[in-house]
Formats: sequence, C-alpha cells, structure tokens
Amino acid sequence: MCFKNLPITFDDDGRARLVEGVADPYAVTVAEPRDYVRSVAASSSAGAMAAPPRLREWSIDPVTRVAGALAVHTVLDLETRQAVEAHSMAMLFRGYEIILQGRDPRDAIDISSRACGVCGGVHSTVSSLAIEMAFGITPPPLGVCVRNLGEVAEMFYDHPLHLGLLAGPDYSTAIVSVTNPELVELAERTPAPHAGVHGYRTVKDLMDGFNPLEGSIYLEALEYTRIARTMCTLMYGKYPHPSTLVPGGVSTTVSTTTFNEYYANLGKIFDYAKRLAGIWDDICDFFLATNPAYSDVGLRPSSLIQTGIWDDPDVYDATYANIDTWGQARYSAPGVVKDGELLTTKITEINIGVEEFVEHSYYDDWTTGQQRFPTDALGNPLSPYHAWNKETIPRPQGKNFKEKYSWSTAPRWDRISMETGVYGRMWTTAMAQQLPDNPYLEATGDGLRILLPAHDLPETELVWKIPDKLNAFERNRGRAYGVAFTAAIGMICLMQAFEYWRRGDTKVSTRFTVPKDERVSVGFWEAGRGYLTHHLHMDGGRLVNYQINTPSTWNASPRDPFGNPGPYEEAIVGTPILESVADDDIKGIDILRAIRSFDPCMPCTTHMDTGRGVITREVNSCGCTLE
Amino acid sequence: MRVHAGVSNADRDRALDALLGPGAQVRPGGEANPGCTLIGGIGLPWLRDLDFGTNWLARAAELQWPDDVVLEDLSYSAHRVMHRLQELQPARVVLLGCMPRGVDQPGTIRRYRLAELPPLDPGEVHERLAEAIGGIIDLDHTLAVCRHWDALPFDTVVIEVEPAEREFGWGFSEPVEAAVTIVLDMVRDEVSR
Repeated sequence: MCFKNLPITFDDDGRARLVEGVADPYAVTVAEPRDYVRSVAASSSAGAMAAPPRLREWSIDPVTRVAGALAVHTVLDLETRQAVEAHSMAMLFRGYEIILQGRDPRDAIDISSRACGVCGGVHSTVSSLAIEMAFGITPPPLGVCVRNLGEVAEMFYDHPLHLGLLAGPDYSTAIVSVTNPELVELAERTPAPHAGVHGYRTVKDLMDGFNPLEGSIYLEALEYTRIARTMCTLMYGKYPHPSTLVPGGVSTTVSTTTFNEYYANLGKIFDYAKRLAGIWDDICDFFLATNPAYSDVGLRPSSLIQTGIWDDPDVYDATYANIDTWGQARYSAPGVVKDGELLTTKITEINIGVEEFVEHSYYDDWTTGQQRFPTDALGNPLSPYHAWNKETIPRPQGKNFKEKYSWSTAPRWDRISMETGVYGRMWTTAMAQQLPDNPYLEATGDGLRILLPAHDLPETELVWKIPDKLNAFERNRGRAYGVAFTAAIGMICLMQAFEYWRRGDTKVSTRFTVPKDERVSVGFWEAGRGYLTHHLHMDGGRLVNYQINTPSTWNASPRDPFGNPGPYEEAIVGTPILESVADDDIKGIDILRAIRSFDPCMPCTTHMDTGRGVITREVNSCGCTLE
Repeated sequence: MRVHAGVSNADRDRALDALLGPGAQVRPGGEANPGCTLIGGIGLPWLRDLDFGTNWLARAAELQWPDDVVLEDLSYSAHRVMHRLQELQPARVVLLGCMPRGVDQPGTIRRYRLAELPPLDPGEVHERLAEAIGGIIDLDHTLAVCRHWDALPFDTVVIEVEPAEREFGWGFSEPVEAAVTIVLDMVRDEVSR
C-alpha cells in the first residue's frame, strides 16, 4: 500500500479507488505553520524559565549562484550555532499556464520551452510527450532514440555547470580560506585519494581548482558546456530552445555522421565523468572526515519523487493506458521514495498522489467549484488539487510568513514533502532494479554500477551507493556520479540508434492532425534537476488548461496547509554553522551550501510591480519553478 | 570508484591541455568564419523595445550586405555567446541591443568601443557569469564574460538604444522605431570602414 495519508486503496486487480465511507476524501484541515520563533515567543510569554536563545535573523535576497530569483529567510541560534527557522521564497510569477490558455496545443512546445533558461530542451520534450499522447500518435523508435540522446546531452550541459560554477566555488580556496582557514591548511597536507584519476595531488589542489574564473575545475566545467551544446545541436538542430521537437518524434535530419559525431563527443564526456566522480568523492570525503557535523548540512528525510526519463523505444507507445509499462521500462526509473523506502515505480500512482497547495503561495484556491476530473482515464481517483483540476489564479500581495510568502506552490505526494534531483533518479533506478540487460549500467538495489568505456582514460567502473543521509554533500556527490550515470545511458541509447539505423528504421517522426474533440493527457519526463510534468486538457483544437510542474517547484516549495515545510526549508533548519569565525563574521556558507546543493532553478527577475504587472528589471531566463 | 589502470598527473594535464589549451584557457573550436564581421543582436523576446537587437536583425537580414558580414541573433546566455564567438573568430563585431540605463531620453543611441569600457572586476564577472548560467540574457553580462576571456576582437563596437516601452507585446515604441534607420546607418558605417 503506497498511500498513507490520501484515502486511496487498491482492489484485487491493483486498481486504485477511494476508501469507502470517507465523506470528503480530499478535505484539507489547515494547520498553523510550525515556526520556531513563534513557538519560542509563546513559551517565553508562558513564563518559561530557560534563558532565551540568542537568535539572529538572516535573510539572503537574492541567493546568488542559483538560477533565478530565490530569497531565503532564516533564523540562526548563535548559542547552538544552527539554523532554527527557514522560509524559501520564489520571487516571480511567470504565467505560462495563462499564456497558453486558448492556444493551439503545438504552441506549448515553443512557449513552454522558455520557462527555463538553463534546460533549453526539457520543456519542449515533455510538451511533445503530452501532445503526442493527446493526439494519439506514437513516435518511431529512432525518433525516441534521438530524443533520448538530445536529453542525455542536455544533462551534460546542466550538471557540470552546477558542479563547477555554481556549487563548486563554495568549496574553493577563495571561500574556505575566509570561512574556515584551518581547513585550507589541512587540505594542503591531505593527499587526494583519487589523484591517479583526476590528477590533483592534494585536496588543496582541488579547492584551488574550484576558484572562480581561474580554477581549472571551474574552467573545465565551462568548456564542457560547449561540448554538451554541440551534442544537443546534433540531435536538436539548435540549442537552446530547439524547434525540432515535435509530437510524434523529431524533425531533425539525422545521418550516420550525426551519430558518429555524437559518439566522438560522448567519449570526451566518459573521461570527464571519471574525473568528476573522483573530484567530488575527494572533496566530500575530506569535509565529512574533518568534521562529522558536515553531514548535517542540508540534511532532510530521504523522501524523493522522480518522473523517469529516457524511454525504451521498443516499449514506449505514448498512451496513458500503458503508462506504467513504458514508464517502468525507462532507463531512469520513475518512483517515489519515502524515508528511504521505495513505494512505487508506477507513473499512475505517482500521478494520482500529487496535489498542489497554495495556502502560503500568492495564488487563490481554485477548488470551490465543480471538480473537472474526478478520475483519470483509467478510473483512478484524482484530488481536486491535482494538476488536471488546477486553475492558476495569481493573487499578488505583501509577504507574510504566517500567510503567503512565495510564488512557488507547494506540491506534495500523499501530502508529504518530497525533493527531486539527479541523485533522486539514480536512487529510484538503483532500488527499482528494472534496467534491461546492458553492458554499461547495473542497478544493485543499494546503488549503481556504471561502466564507462575507454577514451583517453581507461575503461573505468564507478560504483555509486545510496547514501545513508541525504545532505548537501551527498546531493553534490550524486550529481557528479550523475554525469557518469547519464553517459552510460547515452551509450545504451546510441547503440540502439545505430542498430535501428543499420536495420533501415530511419524514420524519426509520425504524421499527425490536430484533433478537435476533447483530449486529456500528460507528459512525464525529467529536467536536469528531476521531476517534470506537463498536464494538458484540450478541446476544439485549443488548449483549455495546461499545467507545468517542475523540480524546483517541489524543492523550493513553501509550507503546505498542514504546516509542513518544503524541502529547502527542511534542509536549512538544523543546518549547523561550522564556520570558524566570530558571530559577526559569519558568511552563512553552510546554509548556502545546503541551498545550492539542490541546484535551485528559479525565475529570473528580482522584483516586480505587482500592481500593474510591470517588471522593473527585465531578464529572460528560468521561470521553471513557478506557474 | 575503481579504475582499470592508473592515470598520471601528466595524463591529466594532457587531457586538460587538449581540452582547454595550455594553462587551462578556454580555447576556440567548431564552425569558423575567421576574419568575418559579425553583427550580433541581443534582445528579450516579446518585450517591445527590449527585443530591439533581435528584431532589428530580422529587418536587416532582408537587406544586402557584403559577403564577409555575418548577421546573428545572440539572444542567449553570455557563455554561449562566448563559445559562439570563439567558433566564429570574427575580426570585427558590432553588438546591438536596447539597454535601459535611465540616464538618457528614450530613443537615445549610444555607441561605444570596447576599449572605452572601464576595466573588469573579476568578482563582477563571476557574478554576471553565474547569472548568465541561469539563463539571464543581458548585454552587459555578454560584454563582461566575453571580455574576460578575450572572445571579442579589439575592433568591437556596441550600439545600444534607450528603450521607452518595456511591457509584454510586439513592436517598438515611436522613439525606438525612429532610431532603427539611424542605427542601420551607423552599422553600415562600421561595416564599410
């Protein structure tokens, strides 16, 4: 039984249904947010004898080196030197759902693509998936392969950027020498265990490599974005925002040369992945060994949700009826992990368990009227808070932590706060053990064995283990191994593409017409940062409703109506302040490490005149956290 | 992790050098058109005057230009523009965009050469690059990142217009529309030098 909070049970045939006799199965009883400061104030006024803690409010606005406008409000207890309260604030409304209403569904591919300035193709892809399901068409196998390979390449753009340029500098000599100079001295005396792989002799050499603008790890990451973009362009024709992703496949012209060139670049990624895993193993292990309290930086429960990505072209048929079958055949498994336990890998169960709440978001509740869809197409029950029933009703107003404080909604699965990420998809894939036989990737239940072929560096086997604790370090380590994971999947998909090409199955798209009757569909895919869905409802050849849910909407979510914090908030609370400096000199690096370990992807503008809808600083970037 | 054979520091250096060039510098590569003149527009889609660079280019593409002139929309992140410049290797660049500086009347045209810009602060470059990675398209980000890594040739000219309308929508405001042909003349001057 995968649901504990929603009144959903399963019959003998495994079909989901609502528990009988529950009058209002999706009722929400709003609870007071669990805020530390208010509780301390209340206990003090009640005459508590204990000395009040030394609290300091700490607001970071904007959080830099994340994609977009994220602000974080925290309260530090200087006595215990840890964060005791946190609020995560997404600062912008982007309105894609509203822009898309009434449009030709095919417009969603191009328009929704602009929701993110980092992942230049994932929204186009998931939109294509949703539309081809609605149109009732299936892409030819090679079309699926090309889509897979393009998406593999996108991950090679995303992960190195984060590891090298966004999160990496937090572990650089430039920063650690300010916050913890004693660690730099120790690092200088500490040999790097994987020096034989990555070539950096000591941990200090690695820290130097992370120095902004000049460190070799930083520069190498920047350079790999060029290689990734080349690979994307081979499959998509153009990157970012490709115009070749279409319902029923791709419109790219591919040839043997296309795949050969892709392979030549993939070889460079094999070597980079080998080095990257060693680099992050050495950095993470150094910090964790130096002070075990680092394992509490960014710590939260091991509860993750993933939508799955990279379809098996022989299984994928784009139908909702078979969504569990083709979902479980994905090379990266969909799934829900709750407190370390894998609850499901069925997309239908993931889908029906998701609700979005707006009690602490700048939106109005939409559930007062008639529920549009009480069930999905298979008869599985749906919440009024489900995406197919959702309406986007923005309600800008002043910030109030007890009321509303973010433009991010609060998605929950079975009313539980979930995070998502690269490591999440490795986690579900490892536990699911549903991978087809292949030479490159093996799921062992407790981790993954990844065999990377020789290029300039020799053939290398990497082993990633599911971590005991989900903290900032394991997120970054997982992301580094994620490059290898993705490269292995890239190799599997490339071999498939060559095989279809050899057989003469060179068709990459399927013709379609836009249906005029009512259709309901969904695209399940993943962005660099994890979970990604587009829920579609069309009628008369036009979109009635289009709802986008992204990884950072999950991760950056504010408190839910039940008073529970979102993942960033959970991860910050309890994070120790481990800087070896006086209180007044604290830089908040441990909190920033906690936040950045999620690879936040926020909308990119700093302020907005909500009265007239006039943006006061124009930028065009990643709005994928928001509506 | 398990490695089937050891790798020396020299191997690592060779791999890095092959990738980045000696001294870990970003190196050019890919499709090239050495010696060309690049006219690059930077715009923000669907934001009226702020989409000047892209829309001006679309109009200019209908006109006759010398064979060695390349017109390209550079409305993407600064580091991607840097990579493109390193591939293309132009001898001369003209960058176009609308930038709200707030110091001039709408429609005011500002032209400046790269050499006239103040020296770069590395901290600012790092911050601008971090924003650009998040997908922010910004002429100043592009200039900072490309200057830092010497991706722009010495002969680079920026022509920017002060916007009037910055809300969602199509088409330029009157003062910016009036600047279109003046900018065209300025660009032709640059190209024919």
